[in-house]
Amino acid sequence: MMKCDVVIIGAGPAGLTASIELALKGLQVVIVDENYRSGGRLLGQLYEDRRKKRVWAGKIIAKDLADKAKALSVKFLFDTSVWKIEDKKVFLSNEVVKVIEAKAILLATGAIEKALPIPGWQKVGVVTVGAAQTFTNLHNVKIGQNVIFVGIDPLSISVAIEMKHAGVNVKGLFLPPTTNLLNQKCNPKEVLESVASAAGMATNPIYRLGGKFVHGAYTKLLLHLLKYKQLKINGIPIYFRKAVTQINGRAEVQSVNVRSLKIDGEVTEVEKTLHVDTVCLSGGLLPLIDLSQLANCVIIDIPELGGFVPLHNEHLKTTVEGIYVAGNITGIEGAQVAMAQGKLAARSILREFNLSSENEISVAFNEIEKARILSPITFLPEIRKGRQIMRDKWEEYLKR
Amino acid sequence: MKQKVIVIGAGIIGTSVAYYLSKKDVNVVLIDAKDIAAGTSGACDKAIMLQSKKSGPTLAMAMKSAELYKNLEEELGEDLEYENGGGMILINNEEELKVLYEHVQKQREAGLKVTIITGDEARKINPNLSPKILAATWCEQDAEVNPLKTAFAYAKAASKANMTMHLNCKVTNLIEVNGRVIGVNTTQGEIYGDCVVLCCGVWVTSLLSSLHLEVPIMPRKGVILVTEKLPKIINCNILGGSYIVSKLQKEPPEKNPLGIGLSMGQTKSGNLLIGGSREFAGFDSSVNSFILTEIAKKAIAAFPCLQHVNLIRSFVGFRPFTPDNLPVIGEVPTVSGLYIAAGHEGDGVALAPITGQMIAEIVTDQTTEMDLTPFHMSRFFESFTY
Amino acid sequence: MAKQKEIHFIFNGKEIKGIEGQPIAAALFNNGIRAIRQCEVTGEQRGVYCGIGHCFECRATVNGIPGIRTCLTLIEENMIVTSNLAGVQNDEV
Ligand SMILES: Cc1cc2nc3c(=O)[nH]c(=O)nc-3n(C[C@H](O)[C@H](O)[C@H](O)COP(=O)(O)OP(=O)(O)OC[C@H]3O[C@@H](n4cnc5c(N)ncnc54)[C@H](O)[C@@H]3O)c2cc1C
Ligand SMILES: Cc1cc2nc3c(=O)[nH]c(=O)nc-3n(C[C@H](O)[C@H](O)[C@H](O)COP(=O)(O)OP(=O)(O)OC[C@H]3O[C@@H](n4cnc5c(N)ncnc54)[C@H](O)[C@@H]3O)c2cc1C
Ligand code: FES
Repeated sequence: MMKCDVVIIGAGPAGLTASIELALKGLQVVIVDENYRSGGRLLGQLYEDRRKKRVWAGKIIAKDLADKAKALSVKFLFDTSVWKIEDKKVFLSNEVVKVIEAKAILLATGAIEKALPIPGWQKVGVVTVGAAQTFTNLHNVKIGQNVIFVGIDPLSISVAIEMKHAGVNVKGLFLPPTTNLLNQKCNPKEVLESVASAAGMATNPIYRLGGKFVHGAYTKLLLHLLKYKQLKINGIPIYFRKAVTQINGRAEVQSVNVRSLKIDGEVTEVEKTLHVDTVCLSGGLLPLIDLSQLANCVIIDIPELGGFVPLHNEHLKTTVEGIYVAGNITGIEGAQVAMAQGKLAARSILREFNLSSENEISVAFNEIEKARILSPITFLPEIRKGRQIMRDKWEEYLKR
Repeated sequence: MKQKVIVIGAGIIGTSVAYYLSKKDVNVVLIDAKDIAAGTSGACDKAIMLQSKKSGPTLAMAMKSAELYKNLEEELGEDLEYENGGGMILINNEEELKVLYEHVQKQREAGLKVTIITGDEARKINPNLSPKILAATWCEQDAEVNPLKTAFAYAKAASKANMTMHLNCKVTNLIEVNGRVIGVNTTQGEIYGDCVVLCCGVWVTSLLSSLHLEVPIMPRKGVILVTEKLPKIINCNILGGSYIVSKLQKEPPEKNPLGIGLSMGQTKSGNLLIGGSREFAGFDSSVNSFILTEIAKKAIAAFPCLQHVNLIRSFVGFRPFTPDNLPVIGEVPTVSGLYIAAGHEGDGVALAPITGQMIAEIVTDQTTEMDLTPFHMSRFFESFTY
Repeated sequence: MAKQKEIHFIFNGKEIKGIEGQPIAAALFNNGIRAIRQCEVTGEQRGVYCGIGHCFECRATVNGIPGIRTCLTLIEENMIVTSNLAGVQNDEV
């Protein structure tokens, strides 16, 4: 059994940032990640940050963070999944180190993608938007020649743009059909509304598109946009009024069936076939909370944060003594927020070791909101409300 | 006017009861606090195993139930992933062989087609079986079924026959007037009927206590490991001998408090379901690393090819345990208009069709083909003669 | 750009060229191979779906060890990757 002060699960932006903060104060830190390298979801991120007029290259940021952590003697265990947490012991799939015992544990496991099971989704050539992002931006691989996206949201729009930059023929973004099974927003107006409000104002492609409209004039803008059957962002058609109802092909994807949608989301009868070899599915993100469940943390459902999340206080401490959370496990936000949360969680942990002051915690806490404002991408429009609900639920929990 | 029957609980037992009642032309109202198969029936294995039952009332009942399963897919018009592929209990050593030999003899007397086969014969049926396995029992009558699909199919068929269903609707208490149950209070309002059938598995005790009645049904926790999808690793139901042996020899539970044993089944989609444990821990649904590791070790010992297989998750279910290992089926004594079908412990899937049929008979005709006495709730009432 | 080292490995009997630091699945994509295995139950072909180790659709046997996720495993010189697609004719290219 290995021993250390803090074990961090997940080498994404939250985990890496926390490790640096902890190691700076002299704690022994081990980071475990099932991937073969550090960076988590940062690795695939590559886009223009308009406000700062620079490129947000996650791969480089991840490398900087990992280099810093290594310089501070943070220990990394890659290719290793954590499969259980018990009494401050972390159980690993590693052949050599099977258990690590720590004084504190930070869960920074990030998010997973929701499935979008439209008929034919299991065929070769159908990938999640996250896979498309990783293969395009991190591995520099073209996953197909003629590509469409199903699901219109800030993430699919940004990945479509990245793919087009990489020279792929992106034939358009479509909606999934409305079915009980999918339980998604598939009504054109609702989708447009959520895209318009979720994406950060300054970089919101929808706003740029309707540039002549003032920011407040939502409804007018939406109704105007919905009149068109097709909009274009960076030359990529976005079909708010069309749904992909089926993916065809014997072994690999060859085509999709597309149907028009009425304004309320109802699918019409007329069906067209579109020839494509690759389909990227974007069904939204969910906090990856399985380890917090296995550790017996109290879990609550806050849709504004993305679904089920471990109950935690403002300073990222869970209901289980010694277990902390940071990053997307607490709710879906961009990488900057994850980093700020990593720092706060680290300072909360340091407090247990008497190595940080209340003031340092407050400073780190306030940095989260700053990061939120600066984020070029917003996933959930009501994230602040979600954070407030979490605070209320924690109060309730303390009073119970 | 048609008889109106309220069934509480949409597990495999409640949906079966609702279905067989709906065939009898009564108005059925099915209520569940959550959803169809959201309780134990959605967190269990899939065996319709006959040879694991003690000879006596349970075995007799299980054999009748197994007959009903044979035509169920056709009857309900649904794919239930039913497979009549047989089952085996693995024998690891001479001592297990001795105990199981006797067990098999008794079952044969009760009419079950079960035999003891050599290790090599067992490996012919399951080529992946470890060469260390000494022998096995073999029963071609054992079968398997997907309990979730079965519960949903029962509910669908009953709905076609005019059943009404209230899901996400919790029954808070039973409405009793002059010793007769006339309806239920729920989170969605009051519902009245001619009688009420309690099919709420391990949660039945709280509803009974509102009538100051008690039944000793307790949650017996079971852990199951789920592997990634695999090609066919096993060709039938598998049970480890050590568990059955300790059960037959009435070993004190202290010897194996977690009740770790081996049970295996492979789903139609290829995932192996590997059980399990039998533990009294209230409604605590946490799983500890020790149990997971021990179960995995047992599985690898029996099937060494599982060494490099990935587990994708584990889950916990609560078997509705009764002290004499028999379910509680029939009228609830001391009140009228109230029936119970609960406490099937580890056999609820296997016993669902026959339970539904018996309750339907007793509710509508007041008699059943099978003798219900051994299952009657009054057996837990000391000075009560039935 | 730094010099990229070429790596050679075998996938289902065929020699594949990749670049150091690439996971197996990425190298296969670059060589036009997207179908990695066959579903054990339906026989349908499967390939990368999630790209980060969650879905287990991209599994193959790597140097004799089955069930390895090719999206998470880096290529190595002379690595032998096989799957149950070996010998299956893909009639559509
Ligand atoms: C598909 C996708 C695309 C995204 N795109 C963007 C984007 O373009 N811009 C943006 O700002 N944000 C994006 N995000 C949000 C993203 O989650 C955050 O930017 C940020 O990466 C979250 O950081 P994190 O540290 O919480 O988690 P992550 O970066 O997701 O890192 C979590 C790490 O934990 C590891 N892990 C998880 N479970 C275990 C386990 N049991 N054992 C061992 N290791 C484990 C994972 O391998 C992973 O490396 C995206 C998210 C997803 C899912
Ligand atoms: C690990 C494990 C493995 C098993 N393997 C097998 C096997 O291989 N073969 C086999 O035959 N059996 C097996 N069993 C046993 C079998 O699963 C159970 O006997 C069976 O599922 C019990 O069914 P039920 O309908 O009585 O209970 P449940 O499925 O629990 O249904 C009860 C329902 O009642 C509802 N309910 C409760 N209270 C209320 C209320 N107040 N108001 C409204 N609704 C309410 C619940 O929501 C629930 O849906 C296994 C069990 C476990 C735990
Ligand atoms: S593509 Fe999902 S695990 Fe590799």
